[in-house]
Order: sequence, then C-alpha cells, then structure tokens
Amino acid sequence: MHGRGIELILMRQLASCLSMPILLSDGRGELVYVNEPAEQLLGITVGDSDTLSMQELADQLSMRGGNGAPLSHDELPNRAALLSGRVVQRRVQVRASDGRNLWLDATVFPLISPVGESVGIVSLYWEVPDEG
Amino acid sequence: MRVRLWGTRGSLATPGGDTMRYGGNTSCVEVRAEDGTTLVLDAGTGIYRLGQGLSDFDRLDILLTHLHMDHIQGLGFFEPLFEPGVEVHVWGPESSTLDLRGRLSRYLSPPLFPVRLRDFRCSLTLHDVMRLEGFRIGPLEVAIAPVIHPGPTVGYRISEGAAALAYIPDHEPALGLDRLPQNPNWMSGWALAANADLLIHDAQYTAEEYPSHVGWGHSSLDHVLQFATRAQVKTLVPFHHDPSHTDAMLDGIFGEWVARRDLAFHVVPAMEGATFHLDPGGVKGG
Ligand SMILES: [Zn+2]
Ligand SMILES: [Zn+2]
Repeated sequence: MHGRGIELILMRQLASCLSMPILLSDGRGELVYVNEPAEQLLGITVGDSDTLSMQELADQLSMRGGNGAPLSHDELPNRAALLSGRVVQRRVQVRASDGRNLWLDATVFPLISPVGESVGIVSLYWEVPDEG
Repeated sequence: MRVRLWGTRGSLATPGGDTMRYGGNTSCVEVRAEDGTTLVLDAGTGIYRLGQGLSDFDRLDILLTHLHMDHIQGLGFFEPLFEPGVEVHVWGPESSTLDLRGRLSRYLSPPLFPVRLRDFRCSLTLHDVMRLEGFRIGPLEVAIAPVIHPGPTVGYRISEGAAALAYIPDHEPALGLDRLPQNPNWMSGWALAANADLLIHDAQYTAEEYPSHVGWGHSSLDHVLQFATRAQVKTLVPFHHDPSHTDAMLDGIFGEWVARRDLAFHVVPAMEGATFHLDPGGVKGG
C-alpha cells in the first residue's frame, strides 16, 4: 500500500496548474506524469498508473540533439539529470504530435527530498520559436 | 485499541461557552493498546489534562505530526516529562537543516518557555521520523508518511492486529486541484488512510471558506468526504475545527453529514472527550 512520494504529488499538482509543458519522472527516471500543455505539444500521454522508460520516451519523440544528431542513452536530458543530480539544459529536436520537427530547450532538474534522496525529475520543454 | 480525543480544535485554543461540546483544546489524541501501551498523537493544549490523569506507566511515546504551535504548545505542560524514571520518547519530523531537537528547542527555551528540553527530569529521547517508514511500540505498529501541509508534516497510521487508526490532522490533499486525483496513488495521505477503521482528519473549512484559504494547509469538508471515500475508511472523524466555528455552527455543518445514508462510512465529528474502541471487527463508541 504505497502511494507516490509527497514531492512528486506536489510537483504534479503544481504542474497541473501551469501553462508550461512539464513532464514528471520518478526517482528512477520513469515518466509518470505529463501535464496538458506538454500533452498538446508532444502528443505524449501517460495514464495515472502507467510509466514510460526514458528510452521509450525518447523513441516516441524521436529525440535528437539540437543539430539533428542522434543522442546516446546517457545524453538524454532526463538521464543526464538523473546521473549528475544537477540541472541540465540542452537543445533537442523532437517530432511533435502533428509530425512537425520541433526544436526545444529542455530544462531538466532533479527533485531532492528533505533527506537528500533524488525522488523525481522535472522536465520543462521550451519551444524555440526561430528554429524549424 | 482505545482512542480518546483530548483536543480537537485547530490553529488556536478556543475555550469558551460556545465551544464546550466540540472542545476548545488543540490537537491531542491518546491511543491505548489492549495491553496498556500508550501513545499520544500531538501535544496541543489537550495534552495537559491527559498528563494529569495518567498513572502507572514507565514509558510514553508522543508522536508529533509537525511543529506548528497548535500541535506542540502543551508539550512543556505534560507532567510525565517532569517525572524521574519515566521514559518519554518524542517522535516528529526534522527539517532539511535542523533535527527534531533543534526545532523543538526553538519553542522549549527562553524567551518563549522557561524550561529547556535538557531540563526535563524524565529520560527523554527524541526521534527524527522523515527517514522512517514506520516503527513498532509494543503491540502497536506505526506507519509514517509525509503529507501536504506547510513545512515538514507527516501523518500516522497506528495498527494493532487488524484494527487501524489513521491520524492526519493537518492536510490539504486538494491543493491546486478542483477534485482529488482519481488514482489514489497520486493522493497525499492515501496509503496511511486506506481501509482504516477510523480516520481522524482535518476538516477545518466549509466549502465556502476554503477558496480564501487555499495553501493554508487544510481541507474543506468536501475534500474530506472525497478523501475518506477514496480511502474506503469505515469511520471518519472530522477534526481540527476552525477557531471561528462555534458548537452551533459545527452542529449545522456536520448534522447533514451524520444523517446522510449514501456515504459508505460513518461520520462522527470530533468532540473533546470522545472515545472509540477499535477491534478487528470494527469501531464502537463515539
Ligand atoms: Zn494544526
Ligand atoms: Zn499545521
């Protein structure tokens, strides 16, 4: 009988009130929540009880580097934030829900609990207007 | 397991003629196992009278949900703390920068209080709980989880055999939402309350009062009903009454609930002095 940690729950509740596209992953990097603006932008959904691994997410989005080159597993922004425990900013290219190529500035940061554990990853995706 | 409410009021002690029945003392609940093992949930002003009536014990455990004043104000007036030879354990949340001792000392030291923690004559042990998922005290199994409320705050689930009490006196699970999440996994406090025989839960605001108090850390009556429904509890005890709610107002607010037949649980609004007996067969008393 384990619910989600309070940090993830609060972050999800905050993300659900914001107009910026936000993805939320758990402490292992599995995607657990996509807010509506992110759903609309990326065409990704995840059910309340579902998860999506980092690689599945990257595959679904056809995520590449800003220059179009493929990203290695460790270069995925979520993975990089999880490994480093720090903020990662990276320009990426993805395929949007309508099939267009989108350039996004990803800002990804870990959620560190009061006792110092990394309990989640927040990914913000800023659309780069002058690319594409 | 026997549960007795010594303080039911939220935020500020509110003694007076118009709070006599629901009670004016702040949060304090006594939990007594069948073998006499005694836990105290929160140390609001209600703990004063509890301490006067206790006898015949050599160990007591006080479980603090958080350190807001209405949950610790009575601590320095709890007589067992002054009795040599008594073992008192205080459990509560540390912050990311201070342990429980450091946080409690802010209050239990001059100028706010004349006596320091180290001057209590009992054998006092403090336990930080944020890294714990639970612990056992005699026959009582205690589960802990952080819940939504300003500052480090936890709720407790106390089980003896198959009987379970959930205690979440300060809680705003609906913060930022119109309705609680459909999936209980995403609902703050759910794992503590799931299938509990007795849920003692924050019910500070009416639906009309809540919108002007969003983020203050408390629930509207609607939210509590949704929470108790999702958690499938057997009996809900609305608790932490707002200081402005008189007995007459609380009668009006809760009268309708108590009479409702469409709820899957009983509603027994918290009144100071009320006792509940939990056994594997369910809840008696009220
Ligand atoms: Zn309170
Ligand atoms: Zn509080």
